[in-house]
Amino acid sequence: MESARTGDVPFEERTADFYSPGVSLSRLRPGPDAAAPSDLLLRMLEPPPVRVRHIPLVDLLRRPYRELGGG
Amino acid sequence: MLVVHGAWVDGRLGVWAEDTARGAVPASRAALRPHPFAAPATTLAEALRGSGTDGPGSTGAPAGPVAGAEERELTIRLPGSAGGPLPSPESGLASRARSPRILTWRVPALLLPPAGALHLLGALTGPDTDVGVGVNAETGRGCSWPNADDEAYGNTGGPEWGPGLSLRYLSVVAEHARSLVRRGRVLPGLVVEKGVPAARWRPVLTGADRAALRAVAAAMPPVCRAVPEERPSKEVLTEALNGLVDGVVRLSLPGRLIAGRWPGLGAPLPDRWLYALTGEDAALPAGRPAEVAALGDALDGWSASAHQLDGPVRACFQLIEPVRDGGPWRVEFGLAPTPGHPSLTSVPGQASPAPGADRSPPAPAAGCPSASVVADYLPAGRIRAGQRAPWLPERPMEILRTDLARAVRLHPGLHSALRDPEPTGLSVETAWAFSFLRNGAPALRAAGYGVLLPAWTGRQGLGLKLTTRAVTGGEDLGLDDRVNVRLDVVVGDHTITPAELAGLAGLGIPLIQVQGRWVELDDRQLKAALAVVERHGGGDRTVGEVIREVVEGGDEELPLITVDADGLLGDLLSGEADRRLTPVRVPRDLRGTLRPYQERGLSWLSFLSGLGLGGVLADDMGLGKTVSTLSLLLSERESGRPGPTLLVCPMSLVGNWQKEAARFAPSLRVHVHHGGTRKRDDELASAVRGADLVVTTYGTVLRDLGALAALEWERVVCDEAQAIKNSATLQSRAVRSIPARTRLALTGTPVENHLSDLWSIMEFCNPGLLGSAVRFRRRHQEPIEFRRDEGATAALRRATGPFVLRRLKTDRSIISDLPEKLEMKVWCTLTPEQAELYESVVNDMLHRIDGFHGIERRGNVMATMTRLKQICNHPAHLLKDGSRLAGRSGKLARLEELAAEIVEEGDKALIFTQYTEFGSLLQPYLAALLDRPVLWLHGGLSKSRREELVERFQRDEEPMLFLLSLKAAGTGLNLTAAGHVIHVDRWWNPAVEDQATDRAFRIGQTKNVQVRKFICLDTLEERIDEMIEGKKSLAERVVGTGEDWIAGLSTERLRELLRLGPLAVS
Repeated sequence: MESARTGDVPFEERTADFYSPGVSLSRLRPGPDAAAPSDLLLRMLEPPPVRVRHIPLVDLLRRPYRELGGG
Repeated sequence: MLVVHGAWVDGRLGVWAEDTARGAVPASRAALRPHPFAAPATTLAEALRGSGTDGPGSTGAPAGPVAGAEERELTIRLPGSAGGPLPSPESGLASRARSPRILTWRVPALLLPPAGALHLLGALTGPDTDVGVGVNAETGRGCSWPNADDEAYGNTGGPEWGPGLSLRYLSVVAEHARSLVRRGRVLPGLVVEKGVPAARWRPVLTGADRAALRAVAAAMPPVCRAVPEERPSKEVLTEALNGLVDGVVRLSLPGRLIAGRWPGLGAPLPDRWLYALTGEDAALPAGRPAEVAALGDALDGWSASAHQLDGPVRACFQLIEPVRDGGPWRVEFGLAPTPGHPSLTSVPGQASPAPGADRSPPAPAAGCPSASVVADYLPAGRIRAGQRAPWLPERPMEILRTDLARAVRLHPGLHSALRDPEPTGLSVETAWAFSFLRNGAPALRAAGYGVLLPAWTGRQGLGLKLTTRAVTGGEDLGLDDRVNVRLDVVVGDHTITPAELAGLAGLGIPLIQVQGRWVELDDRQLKAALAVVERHGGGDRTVGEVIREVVEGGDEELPLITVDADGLLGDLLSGEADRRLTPVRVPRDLRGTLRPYQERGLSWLSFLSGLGLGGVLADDMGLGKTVSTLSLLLSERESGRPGPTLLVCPMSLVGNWQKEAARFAPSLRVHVHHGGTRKRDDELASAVRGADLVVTTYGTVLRDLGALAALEWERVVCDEAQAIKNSATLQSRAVRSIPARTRLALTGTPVENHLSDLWSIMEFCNPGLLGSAVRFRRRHQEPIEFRRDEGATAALRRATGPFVLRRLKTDRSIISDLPEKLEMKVWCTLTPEQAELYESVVNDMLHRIDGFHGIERRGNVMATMTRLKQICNHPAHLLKDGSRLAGRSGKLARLEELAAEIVEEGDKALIFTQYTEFGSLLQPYLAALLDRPVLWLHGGLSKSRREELVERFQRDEEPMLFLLSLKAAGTGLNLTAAGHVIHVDRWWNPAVEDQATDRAFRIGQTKNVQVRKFICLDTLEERIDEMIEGKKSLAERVVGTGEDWIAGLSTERLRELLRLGPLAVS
């Protein structure tokens, strides 16, 4: 029942390829990163009403987000 | 050997392993039975501890992936029978259950915390990983299984191990986690873990990421979601991705996010929460409920707003040129369905883009932007006027206004549009339009908005045109010869005079019209154009300087966009030199015929070599790179006595080069520098002086670099040059450091994964010509790989075109040159282990054979034949001990290379073996190595199952490789989807082999078919092949019945037939 609800094929019907992914793993890999600044999400969202020691959270996160992108 | 599997368990990576040495022993009869051949957790820990790799993503991880791991017994659902669970295909163990059912088993496991998990999974990343994963020193390819040279997987003292596909699958999930974090597609949140609030980083999955992860969930191997019982893949993937994303961020941000003292339990919750976002401890115990609720609500709302951007409909911005001179620009707003959104997956033509790909609609085709090229795009003006579409939601103008309000955060210039309660667009000045083009559009596009720009955007700008004219007749050309040169500033094909340029500078606006076409022109470009005009002008330059200038491609602000050269230089720079050059005569000493395209290739090779320039011969596999190279060597020896050529190749190809040189160019003096008995010091120098061609391996170059670099070489050739695609590896640096007058790279796949592969190969051929790797990345790689920049693509083609000759077998002119069926012999060598086994079996038989007669003698000879053929295939084929496959067989090494190349070319192959047990070993091995499904058809399958496999191979894009038993599949099947046929072992019955080959080469086949027969050099395989080739009539008479005739040979003839020759071992 659970499988039917989630779209997964039940185990009983996957005994022949129980250990294998449905498709080639190379097709599942992420593509190259799009050229976008790593703090784009921070810029595009309305900041949350959260302050830490009176500093807006987004201001504290901007530099770390750039670090995530290697910048 | 251990086959390690993975599952996500309680926020950690759970790993357990099958131990192939324990085999599929009978299971206990207990109600909850222990997995009978699972490795103890201590053994698994010992194995993984040995894999202290520095794989990608392991930054900052403590030593080894098992640091901090917990040993725990897991219950897992696996298919099997009362006798035991089915072994994984990777284990190579035989399956016992005929009608398996799902049962529960207990397995010892290790639970790795995220840092260790990322460390382990990072080391498994992709077949192209060069760092820390098993990269074969001879082939340069990544290995998914340990081989003799691997340190990554277990040859460091612990038990040998290899990753099961479930673990490799989780490594792909970890790659997505890293990609999301690098792109900042994460937000911090407050979650509750076991009743305690905790600070965690969570992925933001929208658009292409959402679609990609949905595909990842759908492909999850069942074994990954079988702990402790059958679970939904989506749930398991969410848990794994959450854990991995949080782990990646914490490893990426080792420091605190705010300075100051560590907040105690009494500090405000946001303060404590911020600290808990880095470091190992995410828990926030003793939080006051009101504070937890307030912070949680704020952060949840933030996360929700990120996902609101991912609705089924998105706002679009279309920049429209002024309709009349001096008129305003216009930004028009609109709505369009979001590509790949789940609610729209049934809409034809709306395929999910790849993750990270540009999600914007395609740019309009003509000069004036046209919304018609964007499926279902509706301008706001028409929506406001009442036009509707099936995908349009209720109150569309409200959605547009909300999206617009968000877009203002990325491009504040849009703010004024919000004054209108139902905005449809803005009229703007030229400077505003330029700012939108340069800043607003890329940010909006990256955020997921639709952006439509005029077709000329990013394409049409100032550039340089280089014109050269030969000073003399140009019959010969040397790098030091001089040519007349002129540099002009151009827009498209219009040359701009210095006076015009000065006039444009005087206008002071960044978007100008030149001959009716809009051109982006900023200050930097203008200054660069003025400087170039002043600096260059006309004059003389050497051919070498011109080539360098063309390759450099102008300045970054002012790229070279057109080259007009005459004479031989024009031929070279045209990128079609092979067609335009005067043909070189086919060398007299060549024993064979060159096809027309091979003759053109020879002319190109000779021309570049004559100039002292290096080249990359990158023809498709099977088009004859070997014979072309040998022809070059013969050709230059007709007009002089050049020094020796050093040819570096994978170990698996040494025998092939020897054999092909002897066949096509017997006049060449060939010396093989390889193996334990290779010459050294003066003996080596003397041997090299007396040789035309010295064949060695990448591994030997590394070991003997000093000696080889000290010798004089006319040329260094790298065969299978993808082995040096990573410029930083030791073997790449080693081959580059050997001085030579000229260099040549041979490869069927000049770009295997990234454009940096090409840079590295070109750096070998023509050191320094493409500039530094950093410049190449900035100038070509990033614009092409990230933005598919057409200008950068053209510039790279112009820069590398003269030095890369690539012909595809699908090219119209090549097809007409090729026979419909191209048969080749692939000469393989034995590994020392194979050779030792081979000699032992031969000696044993010859020692005993004189004591046998009649049927007994015959039986012994035939059994020996079988054993020797098994050894030629692989030691594990003879030993049947479930031991590892990688790195132990010359044939397998060659098969790996060929299979990878075929798959890389997007072609399909049939691989025949006469041994079912060998096919059963190969199928999981190749599938794991190539990360692709491999079909396996053998006599044990029902008729309906065989038909199903054949239909799948013929119909679907994948699988691309089809292993077949010669006996079960030699006749009757139609497998015309394959363009390649490989006979891994020989039946010695040409009729049987031809029948098998004809599965692909038959009516309905539209491609040229390449047929390869693997033969081990200087073994019984080569001698029987010679007998068949040399004595056709005898062969037809005696070989028609297979191999039985061999049993009738005298002991002396047998000794001669079976002996192991000196060329056999690599």
